[in-house]
Amino acid sequence: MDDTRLVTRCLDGNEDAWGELVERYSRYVYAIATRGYGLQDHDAEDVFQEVFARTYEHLSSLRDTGALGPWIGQLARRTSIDRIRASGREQVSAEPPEPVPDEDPLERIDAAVVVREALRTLPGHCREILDRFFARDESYRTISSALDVPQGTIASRISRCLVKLRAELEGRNRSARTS
Amino acid sequence: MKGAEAAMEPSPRPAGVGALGGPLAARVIADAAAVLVVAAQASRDAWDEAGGAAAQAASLRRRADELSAVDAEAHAAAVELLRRRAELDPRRRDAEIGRALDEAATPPLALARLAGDVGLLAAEVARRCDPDLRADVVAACLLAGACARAAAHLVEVNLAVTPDDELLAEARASVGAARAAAERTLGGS
Repeated sequence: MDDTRLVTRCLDGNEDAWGELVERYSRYVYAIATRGYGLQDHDAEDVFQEVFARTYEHLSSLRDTGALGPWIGQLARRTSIDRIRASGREQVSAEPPEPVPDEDPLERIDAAVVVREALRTLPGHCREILDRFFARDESYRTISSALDVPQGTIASRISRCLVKLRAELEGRNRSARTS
Repeated sequence: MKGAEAAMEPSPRPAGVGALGGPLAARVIADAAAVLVVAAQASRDAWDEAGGAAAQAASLRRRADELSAVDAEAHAAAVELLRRRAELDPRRRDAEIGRALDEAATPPLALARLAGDVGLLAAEVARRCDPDLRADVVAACLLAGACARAAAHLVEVNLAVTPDDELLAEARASVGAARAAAERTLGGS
């Protein structure tokens, strides 16, 4: 289900759709809070709760329902910044600031979202095997048992699905450059 | 229970020395996976799916790096609990020690699985990579097999693991997978 349909069903009061929305964006929000802004787990948990509470409250004000991801991302960034400011008022740290890494973590997270969207266009068996290996860190043996395919073929199946994913991403990049 | 408690006495070791075998195996697995990353990346011109193999090897390498710390922490927690067992509430002592030992057995099992996976991927990479790098990939595969065996041994000696335990059976299955992968890669040399 794409984001537009998901938002429509959420606004119709469908609880399953709401659960799917949270599931779809939970890692994104958590990654922004922890990797993007370096929040500790308990603060990231608060950000997570607040972002989805605001999403629930203001979803009807979202004009472009296809832009759900960027909208939630922006909410997560603002909420993370608010959290850091609030912490700063509570305790002044004498620690020197952390060095800024060369690669912007938020860019990495955005890239991850693009990959996630591209994943949705792949056949179901590819989505499943890539999710199991890269997102859930499952072993070849576990994947082999779950999907009932020989253990020795899992690595090559994953590679073939990654080739499809790369083709999809390269197609998107070409479209973005020509538009 | 006195006999069992005596058997659970941790071996004397110099102060500050924690788990050694698990983190060592984790580092070797990570290095073996790193060899696969390099070999696959260097074979892109002649192998369409080389990038996919490299991505999988990078994921396995990350998991090994993460497990190194987890194994040391779980081992240290179990040793510390065994050291303090006289101070524990006698009603909960056995349960707490049993839980700590169970938790200490989990990272070595994960290492055995991971080593088995590195072995399986190495077999795939050895079959398809640049022939000039094949010997290095075979070496990585053999090292992964050794690490699977070492990790299975660490599961086996955990006092909470019984000979017919599922954990041990799974660790041994990983050893078998890694060994079979190594034999395949050697057979193709």
